[in-house]
Amino acid sequence: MKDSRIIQLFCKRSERAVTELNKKYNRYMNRISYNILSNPEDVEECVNDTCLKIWQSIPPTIPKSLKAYIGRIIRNLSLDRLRKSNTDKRGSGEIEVVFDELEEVIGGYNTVEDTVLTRELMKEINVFLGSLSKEKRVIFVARYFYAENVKNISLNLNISESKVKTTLHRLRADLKEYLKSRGVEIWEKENWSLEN
Amino acid sequence: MRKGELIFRELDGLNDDYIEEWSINMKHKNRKNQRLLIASIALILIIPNVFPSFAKVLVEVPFIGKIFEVVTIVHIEDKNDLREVDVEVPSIVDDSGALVIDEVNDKTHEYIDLLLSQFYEDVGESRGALTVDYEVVTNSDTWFTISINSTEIQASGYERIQYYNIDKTTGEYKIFSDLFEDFEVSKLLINENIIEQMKKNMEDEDLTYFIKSIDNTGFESVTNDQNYYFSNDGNLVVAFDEYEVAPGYMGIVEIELSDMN
Repeated sequence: MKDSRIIQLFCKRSERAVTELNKKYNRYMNRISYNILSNPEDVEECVNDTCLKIWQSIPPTIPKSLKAYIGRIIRNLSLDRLRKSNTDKRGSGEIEVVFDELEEVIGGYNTVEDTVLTRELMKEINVFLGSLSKEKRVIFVARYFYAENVKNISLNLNISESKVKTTLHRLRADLKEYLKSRGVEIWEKENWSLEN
Repeated sequence: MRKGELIFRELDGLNDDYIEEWSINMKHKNRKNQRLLIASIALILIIPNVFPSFAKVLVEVPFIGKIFEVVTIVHIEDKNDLREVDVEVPSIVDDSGALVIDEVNDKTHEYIDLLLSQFYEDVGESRGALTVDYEVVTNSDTWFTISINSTEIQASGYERIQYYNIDKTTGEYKIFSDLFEDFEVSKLLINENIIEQMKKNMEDEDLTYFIKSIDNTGFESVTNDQNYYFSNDGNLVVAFDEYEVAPGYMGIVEIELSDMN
């Protein structure tokens, strides 16, 4: 079913809305959540919570891209879930490696205890991604939005794992350089604790 | 929260387009683009260039370059404990007085009347819902397509879609067979292609179709008035109502025939 029709069903408060949403996007939601959580029960809960959230927000929200809208919600809910989970279990998932990699990009910057990211960062990253070839951009998004592992990225794009790894490595280095050249302040001082 | 996680969270600000580019089954999507139609030489499609550049536009034909306007002329609402009917009736607005505009308006109105009467007949005294709306699928310099979409819900849902196409270069309402010089020949190749795609989709994507030669029911051949439209890339897409060629969970089935030009 076309996205516009699914959104219409939500607006009409039709019972079919969630059914159709799941038909089209269940696999998509599961995949994102599983990449972050790795626990089937937690994943199932996040998918259900996502459907509920969408039901509650459309209308009045009418997303331009339903796929991106869903992706963001399940992603954030899964991250919140991750934070709440047992700290012993953390540190073992692929997602932690993704976090490590992203820290490379901002490594070396002056970080003071009370800091927060600026919105400028996201604008610049979008510009950076816009300058890339589609393949490179897709690899970046797969890894740093969807938290996909290297193997899945290589299988899906039909390229070797080493190519994925080197591309990611290169992208992180290029992004770091790009942000420096744009004078982006990654950190700024505010009364905000990283412990939040 | 560690810094890496902070950045990761922040990345939900990526552009929608970039988020959309990644798909779980990209290999399949790429294969779709490379799919070749069988014996393409014999398949002669007379399809006008659906999205031409302005330079090639013919000035003499009245419709070329005209972007039709479509408005909702009637909104039918009938809601009570048992029933929920929500119907939008479109009308193509054009001051040229061209007959084809009236022709298509008549056809769409007749179809909607049919949907409504069928619904009230089916539903009798029991619960049910009917939603009918429309979408302007194509409105380029040379082609116009409007779809009437309906969802009927009684015990379960039943989705239908009907496309109406106008060739602006000739000012004619075009049914599927009108697109081909020799439809009887083209039909065979199109059917083969559709069946091939269905088989492949069933293998690759775990979908289900009914093929008459295998399942004794389902798809056998496209018809003279086969439901169709052109995709944004200018490719011909054939459409089937729910239950026509697949089980209900598949909804409306659309199959894209690779571009032949």
